[in-house]
Amino acid sequence: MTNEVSRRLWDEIAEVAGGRADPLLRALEVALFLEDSLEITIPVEIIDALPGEDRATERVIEAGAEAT
Amino acid sequence: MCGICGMRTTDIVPDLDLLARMTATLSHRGPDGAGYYRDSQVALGHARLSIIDLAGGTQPMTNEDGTVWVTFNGEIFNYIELTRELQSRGHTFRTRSDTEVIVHAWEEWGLDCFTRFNGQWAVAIWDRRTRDLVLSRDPFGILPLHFTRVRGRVLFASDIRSLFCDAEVPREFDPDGFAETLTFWSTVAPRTAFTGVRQVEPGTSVVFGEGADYTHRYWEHAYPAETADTRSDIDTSAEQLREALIDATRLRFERSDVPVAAYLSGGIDSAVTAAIITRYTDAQLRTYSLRFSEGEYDEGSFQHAVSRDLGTDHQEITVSGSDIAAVFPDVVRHTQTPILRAGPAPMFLLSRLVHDSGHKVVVTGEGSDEMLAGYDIFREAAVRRFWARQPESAVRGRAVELLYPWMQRSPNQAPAFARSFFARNLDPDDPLMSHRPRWDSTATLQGMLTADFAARIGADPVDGIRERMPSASGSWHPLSRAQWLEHSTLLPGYVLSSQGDRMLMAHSIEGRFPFLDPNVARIAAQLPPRHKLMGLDEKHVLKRAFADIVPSPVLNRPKQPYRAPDASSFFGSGTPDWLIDVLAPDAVREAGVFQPEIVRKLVEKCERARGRTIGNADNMRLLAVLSTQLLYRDMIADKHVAAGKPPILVRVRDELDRLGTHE
Repeated sequence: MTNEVSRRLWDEIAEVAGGRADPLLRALEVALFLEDSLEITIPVEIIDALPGEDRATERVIEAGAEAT
Repeated sequence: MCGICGMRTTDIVPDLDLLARMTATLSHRGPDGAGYYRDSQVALGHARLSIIDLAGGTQPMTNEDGTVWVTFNGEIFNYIELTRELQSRGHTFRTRSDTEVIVHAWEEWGLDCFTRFNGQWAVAIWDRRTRDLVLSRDPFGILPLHFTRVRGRVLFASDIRSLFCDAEVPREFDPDGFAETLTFWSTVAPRTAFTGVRQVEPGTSVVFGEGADYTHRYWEHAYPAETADTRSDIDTSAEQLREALIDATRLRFERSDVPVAAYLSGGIDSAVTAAIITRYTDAQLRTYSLRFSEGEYDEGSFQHAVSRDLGTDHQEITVSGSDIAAVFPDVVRHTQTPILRAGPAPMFLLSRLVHDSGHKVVVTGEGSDEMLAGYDIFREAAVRRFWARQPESAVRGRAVELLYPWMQRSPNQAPAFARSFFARNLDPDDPLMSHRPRWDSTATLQGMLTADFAARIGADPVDGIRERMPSASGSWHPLSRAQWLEHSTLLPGYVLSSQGDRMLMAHSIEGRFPFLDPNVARIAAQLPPRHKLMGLDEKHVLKRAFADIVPSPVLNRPKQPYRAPDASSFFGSGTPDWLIDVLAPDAVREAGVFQPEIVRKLVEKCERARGRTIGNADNMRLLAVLSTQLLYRDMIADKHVAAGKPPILVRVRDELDRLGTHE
């Protein structure tokens, strides 16, 4: 990804992530968005080990970056 | 808008008395006058609702030398631009009506003329040079056009009731039409609920010529191939959409010789169209809203917020369950097809308010949910796709809790509900995956059919819709496939017809739909799917595009699907007499569609609960039975279906009189 594309996608991720109070559900919506946009699948080991706290979204984004 | 009808014969002169009776059944669509054209092969009838060129738009209309005749229901909004183009090509216009544009466009471009129209139409063109009778319908199916063949003649009309004026047209329910309705909520064109009665498919023209009849498709809902598109930015998408919607709304508001009003539902779509009108035109806008006496369904506070913010002159009607029950027989008389929801009834009452207030035309927000992924079914499908990537995951299934707030409030119920409903058919390779749970759920209603009726069902309707999907759809994004399914089933079959045109035209009101402008549709189809459904935020790009002019309470509210009280309307506070009559076991047995014993138990259940705690499936069952029984009574058992005083038909031209060859 170019820096410009990465920036745009990051902006969109921020919009998606901004709408949920529950940390796990927020992470799942970001994962759904990333998988749909980038045509990737985040490994089940990562999804099933997501913590129920704010770090969950960071973990999903890291996994998305690794998958691309 | 108007009503149109007519016939093409082979060996007998078209019957003028039949044409008059057919036209009479359409007087609600066109109360401002009626006219006809006839020659030895074809008769065209027209009931007029005058909106453009009030003095000069009489129909049927012809070209310079009388070789092309048109009877037309609808609007060609870009008629001014097309008139200029056709004049530059040598065509002479006698009126300033959009109807005449069709006449000359047909001469100039033939079947390709329909690709040049920006509008909504059901039209019949009789070309005496080629002896072709052409029936055409707009890309989305905004306006109705039915036809049937009997003893070598073709009859066509806006309403099915009009076709039944010919005593030789059989009147019986089509089991395959019912199988479709009890799956998709409506029939899928060309099928209708009546055997032998067809409807012109949206986006097509049917040619009845000297040779074999054929259908020409001029429009297809097409989407780009799926790619991992990360380059398009949301602001560019929003700007494209905004420009197209402003143009589409202005075109529909300004091109009229009578005042145009607008509906306000309380949701974002009608708020956008009303906001564009108040921002980009000088008009003082009149808005109309529908409210419910039951708070669960009411959106009054949002409607008032929009009206206040935009400064519109606002009028509203509040509807109760007993209001719905009182008008339901009239509603079904106009839908002319079974319905599984009471939702059309309040729309019937709203259009009556508009009529009584002196307006003929309203702009509405229909089509946005299909174009821009607004329905819950798209969100549900996204979650199910997410789950289907790893069905064995312990966590992915929790994404269903993203869908509805009540799931998070009911942690014990949500997982069970998810497993039983959303986990069905989790097959990412299934092109119909998005719609399977809803269709499967609705199809359980087919268990009410009598054995005889069910035995006459041919193919599985779900197989039928899968076969009709464009070959390229396999390369589309799953959201695009889901949108195509909505475009092909619910939009034309229910939203624009039973709940749209039929309820509007019951009181001679024309609806105009900016979201169904072809330019808006093309742009919406090309947008990256993630800009329409951003995560699970529906119509995200629309909210972004109009954030500056739509009041924030409406912009930021969760979507509330339009619904009306169903069973409780009929059993909540007394049961209307007509209901007792049409649901009597003998009446159900006579109609032959549903099993009387099942209907009896359903009615008892509704009576016990006074319609209050009836589940979704039983609500649909009740409405299906009620509407079917009313249809049977009014359109099959009643042999005077076309009763009514024939209008005084204005003879626009009768070639037989000119030639002195008849009567």
